Amino acid sequence: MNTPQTLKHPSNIVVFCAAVIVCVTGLARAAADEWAAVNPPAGLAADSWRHLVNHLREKPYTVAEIQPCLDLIAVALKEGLPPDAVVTRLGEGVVKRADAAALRATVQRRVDTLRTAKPLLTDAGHPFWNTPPMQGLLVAVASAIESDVPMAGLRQALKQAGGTRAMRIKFVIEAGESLKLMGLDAETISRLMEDFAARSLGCGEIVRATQFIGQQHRAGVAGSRIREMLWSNPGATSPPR
Amino acid sequence: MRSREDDKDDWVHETLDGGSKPPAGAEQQGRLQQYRETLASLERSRVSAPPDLAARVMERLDRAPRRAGLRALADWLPTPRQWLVPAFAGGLAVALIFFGWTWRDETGSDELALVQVHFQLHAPGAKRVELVGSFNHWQPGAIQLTGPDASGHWTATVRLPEGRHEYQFLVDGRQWVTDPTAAIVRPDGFGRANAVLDVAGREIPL
Repeated sequence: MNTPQTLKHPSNIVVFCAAVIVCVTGLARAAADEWAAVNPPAGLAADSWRHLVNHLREKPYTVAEIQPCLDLIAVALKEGLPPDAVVTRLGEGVVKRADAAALRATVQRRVDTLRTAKPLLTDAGHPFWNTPPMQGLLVAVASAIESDVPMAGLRQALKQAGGTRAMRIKFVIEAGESLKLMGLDAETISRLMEDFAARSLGCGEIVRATQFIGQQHRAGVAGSRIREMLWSNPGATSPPR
Repeated sequence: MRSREDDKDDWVHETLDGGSKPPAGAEQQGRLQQYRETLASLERSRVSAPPDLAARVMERLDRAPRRAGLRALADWLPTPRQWLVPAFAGGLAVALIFFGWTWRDETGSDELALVQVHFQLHAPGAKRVELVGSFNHWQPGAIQLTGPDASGHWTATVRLPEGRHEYQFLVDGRQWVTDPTAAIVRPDGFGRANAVLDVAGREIPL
């Protein structure tokens, strides 16, 4: 093995290793400090930015890789979309060490679905959407769109539930997404969402009904039959326990 | 107590009204004559309105300049009207109640109860298992599972607000594991799947 002459002496090896460690540490520190110089998107809460930067400092991303995502957060803020719904998705990806392209695609998708969700709410007669409970509903609708919940079902449920509390509508929307993720067909999902909205079910009842539907679906029961089982009693307002 | 003068006046009044009182004294006759003359002079001095008076007044009113739009409103508003203030106050109250109710319905958040949720993962070979999810902003290290027990299970009991949560287990700080017992899983967009948990149940005092 051809070892350089200068490294044959033990003290030289120690010096070489120390120099390598200093270089690597210095580069790592330089990369970490890079984030201190980055301006947060205008309007983003200080806490959200601090959490995100703490995530980013511990992971091997450069500012250039993340900057497109930060630009999208700035766009969301400008358009009045809830920024935390975007920052959380970015933070999740960073913690999971997703590659930069996947991060950008996920953040872009979230901004797009929030944009699509906003007029759905206003068109359905929910004008005060820029409040914390309504922003929660907006995020739920965006999430449902990401999961390909039928738009007709979303529109109908939002319209039917117009005038009721944001939190209850949010549960209806989330139930629709759960049904989609369970693999139910689009028509059954739309009908069940309408059922939930029209029957003024409470949050717990909606969750219980969704679990019941999931059990029946896994047992191979058809969607129409599940609806019959749910609402077989003409006056039924509550799902079976 | 009635005086004699009152009785005399009664006689004069009744006679003027066409009553048939017995003849009275010269003093009363004189006073009656005085009244009759006064009435006759009043009758003579009566001035009647010209027959075209109403038409002339209406014609002048029609010629008066009419203000339109905001100026007409400005003329109308300061005119004192008894019904205006109560009507305005009532309308305002109704509007406030209506919009207040609508706002409450649209924005009102139900108080979310905290519900105790039990998590479990079978990972007999693991050194450390963490619960990471939307409820702790995907921050590793915040919730550690205890274990493993004799059967290799790691467990944690966490109080979560009612609603939807997504989570994964992080094993030994590097391996992301989807809860194999989850009824619903959702692709996370990063090549893995989050377990979806809809929490609703027994309320726990905050």
